[in-house]
Amino acid sequence: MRLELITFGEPFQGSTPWYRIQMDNTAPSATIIVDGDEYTPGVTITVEFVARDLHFGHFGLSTLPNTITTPSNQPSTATPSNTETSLSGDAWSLNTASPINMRPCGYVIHLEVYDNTIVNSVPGHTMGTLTMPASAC
Amino acid sequence: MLKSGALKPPAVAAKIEEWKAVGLDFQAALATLEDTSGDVSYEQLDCLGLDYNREVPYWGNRLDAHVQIRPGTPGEIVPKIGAIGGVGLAYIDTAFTGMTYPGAVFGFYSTPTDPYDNTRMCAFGSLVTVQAAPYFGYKYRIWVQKANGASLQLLTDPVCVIDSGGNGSYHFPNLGGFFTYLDVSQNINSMVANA
Repeated sequence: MRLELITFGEPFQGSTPWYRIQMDNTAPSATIIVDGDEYTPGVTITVEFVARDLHFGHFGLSTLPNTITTPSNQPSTATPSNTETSLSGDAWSLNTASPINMRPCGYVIHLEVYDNTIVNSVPGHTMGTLTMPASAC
Repeated sequence: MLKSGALKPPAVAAKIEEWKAVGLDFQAALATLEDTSGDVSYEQLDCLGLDYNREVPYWGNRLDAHVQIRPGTPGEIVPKIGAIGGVGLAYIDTAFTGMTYPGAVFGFYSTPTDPYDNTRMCAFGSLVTVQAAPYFGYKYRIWVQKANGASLQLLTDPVCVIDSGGNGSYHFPNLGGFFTYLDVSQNINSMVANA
């Protein structure tokens, strides 16, 4: 972009150089790879997820609900949260027996992926989300 | 009054008469003119210092000062952009990558542009604001184009501004896409465009 300046009488006064700005209006990709809909209570589920973007920010994995009445364990992964996964996906796991025994019920695995793009000229970033609902109780 | 070579007794006498005719005392004026130094006959230099209470009479003074003159034409108006996307231009690599430099912060918030790893560079998305200090009595317009030179276009969307009373309004361009610079009291954030 460049800015041109004129007087009220409109003689041209000059312009700035062309300033280069990199745009990114593409949301990150978020994918959870599962191998089934139902799992036996007490097992550790180990599957994969993909969190990627050209200008990657960070990702977050969570299990829902996670309340006092319906507590749940949270997924874990060896991939640092500010590092994008491989194209084919990185492993994540959910231990349904520790630290609590999760009730036989339907849970949601929620993946949020953010890029580090400055969106709307303010702090905060573009988000891509994916939820994997499980069967109801 | 007296030219070189004209100091002859008849001429001086004539001048004295002229002075008398207008009520001036020529001899007294000469005596005052000759008395150009203070009486320092009593002085003995036993130390050196500045003491205004012991100041001797003096006439005249001198003050030295260094003055630096910037290059360029006096009063020159230089087109400038201060911030893009809420980030000061000094934090953006506007020559090559078009992304923020590592360690960049937002102008308003002083928070890192990438709070999770501020060594990473950031791109821009969605609405990109442009801020610039106003030049009263001037107009501006802003062009954008793709990096390959394609799609040259003017930014003519009205600009949302806030005045010093906290009231928001939209500032519209004139013919040719030119906006009038608003005074800071009318545009406290110095917003000049939305890209």
